[in-house]
Amino acid sequence: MPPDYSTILIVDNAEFIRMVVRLRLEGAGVAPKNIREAENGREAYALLVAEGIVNILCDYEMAVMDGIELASKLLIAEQRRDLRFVLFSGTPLAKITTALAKIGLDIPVVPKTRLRESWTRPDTLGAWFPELAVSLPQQQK
Amino acid sequence: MVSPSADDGARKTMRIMVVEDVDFNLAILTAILAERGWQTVAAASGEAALDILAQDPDFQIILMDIGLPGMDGVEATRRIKENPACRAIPVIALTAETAAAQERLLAAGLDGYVEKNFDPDQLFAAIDKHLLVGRSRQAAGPASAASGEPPDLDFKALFATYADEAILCRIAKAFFTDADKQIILLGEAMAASDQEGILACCHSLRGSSAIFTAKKLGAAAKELDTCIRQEKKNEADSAWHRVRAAHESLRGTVSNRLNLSLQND
Repeated sequence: MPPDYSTILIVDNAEFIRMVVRLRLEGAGVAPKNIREAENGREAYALLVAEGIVNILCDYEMAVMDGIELASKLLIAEQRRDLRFVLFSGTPLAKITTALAKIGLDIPVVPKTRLRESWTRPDTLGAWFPELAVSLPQQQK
Repeated sequence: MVSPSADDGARKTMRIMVVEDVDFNLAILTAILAERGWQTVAAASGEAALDILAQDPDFQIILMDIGLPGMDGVEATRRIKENPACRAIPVIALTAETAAAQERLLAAGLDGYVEKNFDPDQLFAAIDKHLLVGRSRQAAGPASAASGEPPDLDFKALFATYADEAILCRIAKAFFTDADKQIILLGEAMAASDQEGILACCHSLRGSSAIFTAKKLGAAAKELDTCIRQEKKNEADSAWHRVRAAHESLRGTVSNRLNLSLQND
Protein backbone atom coordinates (compact mmCIF):
# COMPACT_ATOMS: atom_id res chain seq x y z
CA MET A 1 0.00 0.00 0.00
CA PRO A 2 1.59 3.33 -1.05
CA PRO A 3 1.71 5.98 1.68
CA ASP A 4 -1.28 8.33 1.79
CA TYR A 5 0.02 11.72 2.92
CA SER A 6 -3.23 13.62 2.30
CA THR A 7 -5.30 11.71 4.87
CA ILE A 8 -5.30 11.97 8.65
CA LEU A 9 -6.61 9.44 11.13
CA ILE A 10 -8.30 10.51 14.39
CA VAL A 11 -8.20 7.87 17.11
CA ASP A 12 -10.39 8.27 20.20
CA ASN A 13 -13.02 6.09 21.85
CA ALA A 14 -15.39 9.07 22.30
CA GLU A 15 -17.50 10.06 19.29
CA PHE A 16 -17.75 13.59 20.71
CA ILE A 17 -13.98 14.05 20.79
CA ARG A 18 -13.57 12.65 17.28
CA MET A 19 -16.22 15.06 16.05
CA VAL A 20 -14.58 18.07 17.70
CA VAL A 21 -11.19 17.15 16.22
CA ARG A 22 -12.78 16.53 12.83
CA LEU A 23 -14.45 19.95 12.86
CA ARG A 24 -11.18 21.63 13.79
CA LEU A 25 -9.37 19.83 10.98
CA GLU A 26 -12.08 20.70 8.48
CA GLY A 27 -11.84 24.31 9.66
CA ALA A 28 -8.11 24.18 8.99
CA GLY A 29 -8.80 23.14 5.41
CA VAL A 30 -8.56 19.34 5.49
CA ALA A 31 -11.18 17.85 3.17
CA PRO A 32 -13.80 15.70 4.97
CA LYS A 33 -12.95 12.74 2.75
CA ASN A 34 -9.36 12.91 3.97
CA ILE A 35 -10.31 12.55 7.62
CA ARG A 36 -10.70 9.01 8.91
CA GLU A 37 -11.70 7.86 12.36
CA ALA A 38 -11.00 4.89 14.61
CA GLU A 39 -12.36 4.09 18.06
CA ASN A 40 -9.22 2.52 19.50
CA GLY A 41 -5.64 1.58 18.76
CA ARG A 42 -6.50 -1.82 17.34
CA GLU A 43 -8.99 -0.41 14.85
CA ALA A 44 -6.50 2.35 13.98
CA TYR A 45 -3.75 -0.15 13.31
CA ALA A 46 -5.96 -2.10 10.92
CA LEU A 47 -6.84 1.09 9.01
CA LEU A 48 -3.23 2.23 8.83
CA VAL A 49 -2.13 -1.06 7.39
CA ALA A 50 -5.05 -1.35 4.96
CA GLU A 51 -5.04 2.23 3.67
CA GLY A 52 -1.47 3.46 3.97
CA ILE A 53 -2.40 6.41 6.20
CA VAL A 54 0.67 8.07 7.71
CA ASN A 55 -0.82 11.00 9.68
CA ILE A 56 -2.21 10.04 13.09
CA LEU A 57 -3.83 12.14 15.83
CA CYS A 58 -4.35 9.72 18.68
CA ASP A 59 -5.79 9.81 22.19
CA TYR A 60 -3.52 8.59 24.94
CA GLU A 61 -6.08 6.71 27.05
CA MET A 62 -8.22 4.10 25.35
CA ALA A 63 -9.63 0.84 26.66
CA VAL A 64 -8.47 -1.26 23.71
CA MET A 65 -4.84 -0.58 22.71
CA ASP A 66 -4.08 2.87 24.07
CA GLY A 67 -2.07 5.58 22.34
CA ILE A 68 1.29 4.52 23.73
CA GLU A 69 0.72 0.88 22.82
CA LEU A 70 -0.17 1.90 19.27
CA ALA A 71 2.79 4.27 19.01
CA SER A 72 5.26 1.72 20.35
CA LYS A 73 3.93 -1.01 18.06
CA LEU A 74 4.27 1.19 15.00
CA LEU A 75 7.30 3.31 15.82
CA ILE A 76 9.43 0.88 17.82
CA ALA A 77 8.40 -2.67 16.93
CA GLU A 78 7.77 -1.96 13.25
CA GLN A 79 10.18 0.98 12.87
CA ARG A 80 7.64 2.95 10.78
CA ARG A 81 9.71 6.08 10.31
CA ASP A 82 7.33 7.44 7.67
CA LEU A 83 4.55 7.93 10.23
CA ARG A 84 3.57 11.34 11.64
CA PHE A 85 2.23 10.53 15.11
CA VAL A 86 0.75 13.05 17.57
CA LEU A 87 -0.79 12.11 20.91
CA PHE A 88 -3.45 14.15 22.72
CA SER A 89 -4.70 13.59 26.22
CA GLY A 90 -6.60 14.81 29.25
CA THR A 91 -3.91 13.24 31.45
CA PRO A 92 -1.17 15.55 32.79
CA LEU A 93 1.39 15.78 30.01
CA ALA A 94 4.39 15.21 32.29
CA LYS A 95 3.10 11.73 33.08
CA ILE A 96 2.83 10.90 29.39
CA THR A 97 6.16 12.35 28.35
CA THR A 98 7.78 10.37 31.17
CA ALA A 99 6.09 7.19 29.94
CA LEU A 100 7.20 7.95 26.37
CA ALA A 101 10.78 8.66 27.46
CA LYS A 102 10.93 5.33 29.28
CA ILE A 103 10.34 3.48 26.03
CA GLY A 104 12.48 5.85 23.98
CA LEU A 105 9.75 7.64 22.04
CA ASP A 106 9.88 11.32 21.25
CA ILE A 107 6.56 12.38 19.73
CA PRO A 108 4.41 15.50 20.23
CA VAL A 109 1.84 15.36 23.03
CA VAL A 110 -0.87 18.02 23.37
CA PRO A 111 -3.56 18.60 25.99
CA LYS A 112 -7.06 17.55 25.02
CA THR A 113 -8.48 20.57 26.78
CA ARG A 114 -7.01 22.78 24.07
CA LEU A 115 -8.94 21.03 21.32
CA ARG A 116 -11.39 23.93 21.12
CA GLU A 117 -8.59 26.38 20.62
CA SER A 118 -5.74 26.45 18.23
CA TRP A 119 -3.77 23.29 18.03
CA THR A 120 -5.36 22.16 14.80
CA ARG A 121 -4.63 25.44 13.04
CA PRO A 122 -2.92 25.12 9.65
CA ASP A 123 0.44 26.33 11.00
CA THR A 124 0.39 23.76 13.81
CA LEU A 125 -0.70 21.07 11.39
CA GLY A 126 2.13 22.08 9.10
CA ALA A 127 4.66 21.46 11.86
CA TRP A 128 3.30 18.05 12.77
CA PHE A 129 2.03 16.84 9.42
CA PRO A 130 4.03 18.70 6.75
CA GLU A 131 2.91 16.52 3.85
CA LEU A 132 -0.73 16.93 4.84
CA ALA A 133 -0.32 20.70 5.08
CA VAL A 134 1.05 20.80 1.54
CA SER A 135 -2.21 19.25 0.32
CA LEU A 136 -4.40 21.91 1.99
CA PRO A 137 -6.04 24.63 -0.12
CA GLN A 138 -3.60 27.52 -0.49
CA GLN A 139 -6.04 30.19 0.75
CA GLN A 140 -6.62 28.39 4.03
CA LYS A 141 -3.04 27.88 5.07
CA MET B 1 -39.79 26.32 -0.50
CA VAL B 2 -37.11 25.10 1.84
CA SER B 3 -37.18 21.64 3.30
CA PRO B 4 -36.62 21.36 7.03
CA SER B 5 -33.11 20.35 7.96
CA ALA B 6 -32.34 17.01 9.60
CA ASP B 7 -32.27 18.55 13.06
CA ASP B 8 -35.59 20.31 12.73
CA GLY B 9 -37.56 17.28 13.76
CA ALA B 10 -35.75 17.19 17.04
CA ARG B 11 -36.30 20.86 17.82
CA LYS B 12 -39.01 21.93 20.13
CA THR B 13 -41.68 24.36 18.96
CA MET B 14 -40.37 27.88 18.69
CA ARG B 15 -42.45 31.00 19.13
CA ILE B 16 -41.85 33.87 16.79
CA MET B 17 -43.62 37.20 17.03
CA VAL B 18 -44.38 38.84 13.70
CA VAL B 19 -45.10 42.56 13.94
CA GLU B 20 -46.74 43.41 10.62
CA ASP B 21 -49.79 45.51 9.81
CA VAL B 22 -50.45 44.19 6.29
CA ASP B 23 -52.53 41.02 6.40
CA PHE B 24 -51.15 39.73 3.11
CA ASN B 25 -47.54 39.96 4.30
CA LEU B 26 -48.50 38.40 7.60
CA ALA B 27 -50.15 35.45 5.88
CA ILE B 28 -47.04 34.78 3.76
CA LEU B 29 -44.71 34.96 6.75
CA THR B 30 -46.92 32.71 8.84
CA ALA B 31 -47.04 30.12 6.06
CA ILE B 32 -43.25 30.16 5.64
CA LEU B 33 -42.56 29.86 9.37
CA ALA B 34 -45.11 27.05 9.67
CA GLU B 35 -42.94 25.01 7.29
CA ARG B 36 -40.56 24.49 10.17
CA GLY B 37 -43.35 23.91 12.64
CA TRP B 38 -42.72 27.27 14.30
CA GLN B 39 -45.54 28.98 16.12
CA THR B 40 -46.32 32.51 14.99
CA VAL B 41 -47.92 35.19 17.13
CA ALA B 42 -49.04 38.24 15.17
CA ALA B 43 -49.06 41.85 16.32
CA ALA B 44 -50.56 44.45 13.98
CA SER B 45 -48.71 47.40 15.52
CA GLY B 46 -45.76 48.31 17.71
CA GLU B 47 -48.12 49.04 20.58
CA ALA B 48 -49.77 45.62 20.24
CA ALA B 49 -46.33 43.95 20.23
CA LEU B 50 -45.39 45.68 23.49
CA ASP B 51 -48.71 44.67 25.07
CA ILE B 52 -48.18 41.02 24.14
CA LEU B 53 -44.58 41.03 25.40
CA ALA B 54 -45.64 42.61 28.69
CA GLN B 55 -47.90 39.61 29.30
CA ASP B 56 -45.66 36.93 27.81
CA PRO B 57 -42.05 37.55 26.78
CA ASP B 58 -41.39 33.90 25.85
CA PHE B 59 -40.41 34.44 22.21
CA GLN B 60 -37.22 33.31 20.49
CA ILE B 61 -37.34 35.88 17.66
CA ILE B 62 -39.28 39.01 16.76
CA LEU B 63 -39.73 39.89 13.08
CA MET B 64 -40.44 43.60 12.97
CA ASP B 65 -41.93 45.61 10.12
CA ILE B 66 -40.43 49.10 10.19
CA GLY B 67 -43.12 51.17 8.46
CA LEU B 68 -45.87 50.54 10.98
CA PRO B 69 -48.73 52.99 11.58
CA GLY B 70 -48.42 54.84 14.88
CA MET B 71 -45.33 53.66 16.73
CA ASP B 72 -42.86 52.56 14.05
CA GLY B 73 -40.67 49.46 14.19
CA VAL B 74 -37.56 51.31 15.34
CA GLU B 75 -39.34 52.88 18.32
CA ALA B 76 -41.04 49.58 19.20
CA THR B 77 -37.64 47.86 19.14
CA ARG B 78 -36.11 50.56 21.33
CA ARG B 79 -38.83 49.94 23.94
CA ILE B 80 -38.45 46.17 23.70
CA LYS B 81 -34.73 46.54 24.38
CA GLU B 82 -35.46 48.70 27.43
CA ASN B 83 -37.38 45.83 29.03
CA PRO B 84 -35.02 43.41 30.85
CA ALA B 85 -37.53 40.59 30.40
CA CYS B 86 -37.28 40.68 26.63
CA ARG B 87 -34.15 42.59 25.65
CA ALA B 88 -32.34 39.34 24.82
CA ILE B 89 -34.86 38.47 22.11
CA PRO B 90 -33.32 39.23 18.71
CA VAL B 91 -35.39 41.68 16.67
CA ILE B 92 -35.03 41.33 12.91
CA ALA B 93 -36.30 44.14 10.72
CA LEU B 94 -38.50 43.35 7.74
CA THR B 95 -37.62 46.08 5.34
CA ALA B 96 -37.59 47.18 1.73
CA GLU B 97 -35.09 49.93 2.52
CA THR B 98 -31.78 50.59 0.78
CA ALA B 99 -28.60 49.09 2.13
CA ALA B 100 -27.62 52.38 3.77
CA ALA B 101 -30.99 52.62 5.48
CA GLN B 102 -30.66 49.02 6.63
CA GLU B 103 -27.35 49.84 8.27
CA ARG B 104 -29.07 52.70 10.07
CA LEU B 105 -31.59 50.18 11.44
CA LEU B 106 -28.74 48.21 12.99
CA ALA B 107 -27.36 51.41 14.48
CA ALA B 108 -30.83 52.11 15.92
CA GLY B 109 -30.77 48.85 17.88
CA LEU B 110 -32.27 46.22 15.63
CA ASP B 111 -30.32 42.98 15.54
CA GLY B 112 -30.57 42.34 11.80
CA TYR B 113 -32.74 42.71 8.77
CA VAL B 114 -34.23 40.74 5.91
CA GLU B 115 -35.46 42.05 2.62
CA LYS B 116 -39.22 42.32 2.59
CA ASN B 117 -39.38 40.51 -0.71
CA PHE B 118 -37.56 37.74 1.09
CA ASP B 119 -37.23 34.20 0.02
CA PRO B 120 -37.62 31.46 2.63
CA ASP B 121 -33.91 30.56 2.49
CA GLN B 122 -32.90 34.10 3.44
CA LEU B 123 -35.51 34.28 6.16
CA PHE B 124 -34.50 30.96 7.70
CA ALA B 125 -30.81 31.87 7.48
CA ALA B 126 -31.44 35.17 9.29
CA ILE B 127 -33.53 33.47 11.96
CA ASP B 128 -31.01 30.67 12.52
CA LYS B 129 -28.20 33.19 12.84
CA HIS B 130 -30.05 35.33 15.36
CA LEU B 131 -31.37 32.42 17.37
CA LEU B 132 -27.79 31.67 18.36
CA VAL B 133 -27.22 35.29 19.35
CA GLY B 134 -30.39 35.29 21.43
CA ARG B 135 -29.47 32.10 23.25
CA SER B 136 -25.99 33.37 23.89
CA ARG B 137 -27.49 36.48 25.48
CA GLN B 138 -29.93 34.43 27.54
CA ALA B 139 -27.10 32.20 28.70
CA ALA B 140 -25.31 35.27 30.00
CA GLY B 141 -28.49 36.65 31.57
CA PRO B 142 -29.79 36.70 35.14
CA ALA B 143 -30.91 33.05 35.10
CA SER B 144 -27.31 31.87 34.83
CA ALA B 145 -25.81 34.52 37.06
CA ALA B 146 -23.08 33.37 39.37
CA SER B 147 -24.47 31.52 42.35
CA GLY B 148 -21.21 30.20 43.73
CA GLU B 149 -21.21 27.01 41.68
CA PRO B 150 -20.04 26.59 38.10
CA PRO B 151 -22.63 26.99 35.35
CA ASP B 152 -24.00 24.00 33.48
CA LEU B 153 -22.53 25.30 30.26
CA ASP B 154 -20.43 28.21 29.07
CA PHE B 155 -22.58 28.74 26.02
CA LYS B 156 -20.83 31.98 25.18
CA ALA B 157 -17.47 30.21 24.79
CA LEU B 158 -19.07 27.37 22.86
CA PHE B 159 -20.85 29.80 20.57
CA ALA B 160 -17.61 31.72 20.03
CA THR B 161 -15.97 28.50 18.80
CA TYR B 162 -18.84 27.03 16.79
CA ALA B 163 -21.01 29.88 15.52
CA ASP B 164 -23.24 27.55 13.58
CA GLU B 165 -26.39 26.06 15.01
CA ALA B 166 -26.32 22.87 12.97
CA ILE B 167 -22.76 22.13 14.11
CA LEU B 168 -23.61 22.91 17.72
CA CYS B 169 -26.54 20.50 17.54
CA ARG B 170 -24.27 17.77 16.14
CA ILE B 171 -21.71 18.40 18.85
CA ALA B 172 -24.32 18.37 21.59
CA LYS B 173 -25.79 15.09 20.39
CA ALA B 174 -22.35 13.49 20.18
CA PHE B 175 -21.49 14.79 23.64
CA PHE B 176 -24.59 13.23 25.18
CA THR B 177 -24.11 9.97 23.26
CA ASP B 178 -20.75 9.61 25.00
CA ALA B 179 -21.70 11.16 28.35
CA ASP B 180 -24.81 8.98 28.69
CA LYS B 181 -22.64 5.89 28.14
CA GLN B 182 -20.11 7.07 30.72
CA ILE B 183 -22.85 7.74 33.30
CA ILE B 184 -24.18 4.20 32.85
CA LEU B 185 -20.67 2.74 33.16
CA LEU B 186 -19.99 4.95 36.15
CA GLY B 187 -23.17 3.76 37.87
CA GLU B 188 -22.12 0.16 37.31
CA ALA B 189 -18.61 0.87 38.59
CA MET B 190 -19.99 2.63 41.67
CA ALA B 191 -22.31 -0.30 42.41
CA ALA B 192 -19.39 -2.73 42.09
CA SER B 193 -16.97 -0.46 44.00
CA ASP B 194 -14.71 -0.77 40.96
CA GLN B 195 -12.24 2.05 41.66
CA GLU B 196 -10.36 1.72 38.40
CA GLY B 197 -13.62 1.80 36.45
CA ILE B 198 -14.86 4.84 38.37
CA LEU B 199 -11.64 6.74 37.74
CA ALA B 200 -11.70 5.87 34.03
CA CYS B 201 -15.25 7.19 33.69
CA CYS B 202 -14.44 10.34 35.67
CA HIS B 203 -11.43 10.92 33.44
CA SER B 204 -13.55 10.61 30.31
CA LEU B 205 -16.33 12.83 31.66
CA ARG B 206 -13.86 15.48 32.75
CA GLY B 207 -12.12 15.57 29.38
CA SER B 208 -15.32 15.79 27.36
CA SER B 209 -16.85 18.30 29.78
CA ALA B 210 -13.83 20.58 29.52
CA ILE B 211 -14.13 20.64 25.74
CA PHE B 212 -17.91 21.05 25.79
CA THR B 213 -17.55 23.79 28.45
CA ALA B 214 -19.80 21.76 30.78
CA LYS B 215 -18.20 23.17 33.90
CA LYS B 216 -20.56 21.83 36.54
CA LEU B 217 -20.39 18.25 35.27
CA GLY B 218 -16.62 18.48 34.96
CA ALA B 219 -16.32 19.79 38.52
CA ALA B 220 -18.58 17.04 39.87
CA ALA B 221 -16.57 14.35 38.07
CA LYS B 222 -13.35 15.80 39.46
CA GLU B 223 -14.83 15.79 42.96
CA LEU B 224 -15.81 12.12 42.61
CA ASP B 225 -12.35 11.31 41.30
CA THR B 226 -10.78 12.97 44.35
CA CYS B 227 -13.10 11.14 46.79
CA ILE B 228 -12.22 7.79 45.23
CA ARG B 229 -8.49 8.46 45.31
CA GLN B 230 -8.77 9.49 48.96
CA GLU B 231 -11.02 6.47 49.69
CA LYS B 232 -13.81 8.61 51.13
CA LYS B 233 -16.76 6.29 50.57
CA ASN B 234 -19.60 8.46 51.92
CA GLU B 235 -18.36 11.57 50.17
CA ALA B 236 -17.96 9.55 46.98
CA ASP B 237 -21.65 8.55 47.10
CA SER B 238 -22.64 12.20 47.47
CA ALA B 239 -20.31 13.20 44.67
CA TRP B 240 -21.83 10.51 42.44
CA HIS B 241 -25.28 12.02 43.06
CA ARG B 242 -23.88 15.41 42.07
CA VAL B 243 -22.44 13.95 38.87
CA ARG B 244 -25.84 12.55 37.92
CA ALA B 245 -27.62 15.79 38.84
CA ALA B 246 -25.12 17.87 36.85
CA HIS B 247 -25.51 15.56 33.86
CA GLU B 248 -29.31 15.87 33.88
CA SER B 249 -29.19 19.60 34.53
CA LEU B 250 -26.81 19.99 31.59
CA ARG B 251 -29.17 18.01 29.36
CA GLY B 252 -31.98 20.42 30.24
CA THR B 253 -29.82 23.48 29.67
CA VAL B 254 -28.50 22.31 26.30
CA SER B 255 -31.92 21.13 25.23
CA ASN B 256 -33.41 24.55 26.00
CA ARG B 257 -30.58 26.59 24.52
CA LEU B 258 -30.53 24.66 21.25
CA ASN B 259 -34.21 23.71 21.10
CA LEU B 260 -32.99 20.17 20.75
CA SER B 261 -34.47 16.94 22.03
CA LEU B 262 -31.75 15.03 23.91
CA GLN B 263 -33.57 12.04 25.27
CA ASN B 264 -31.70 9.59 27.43
CA ASP B 265 -32.12 6.18 25.78
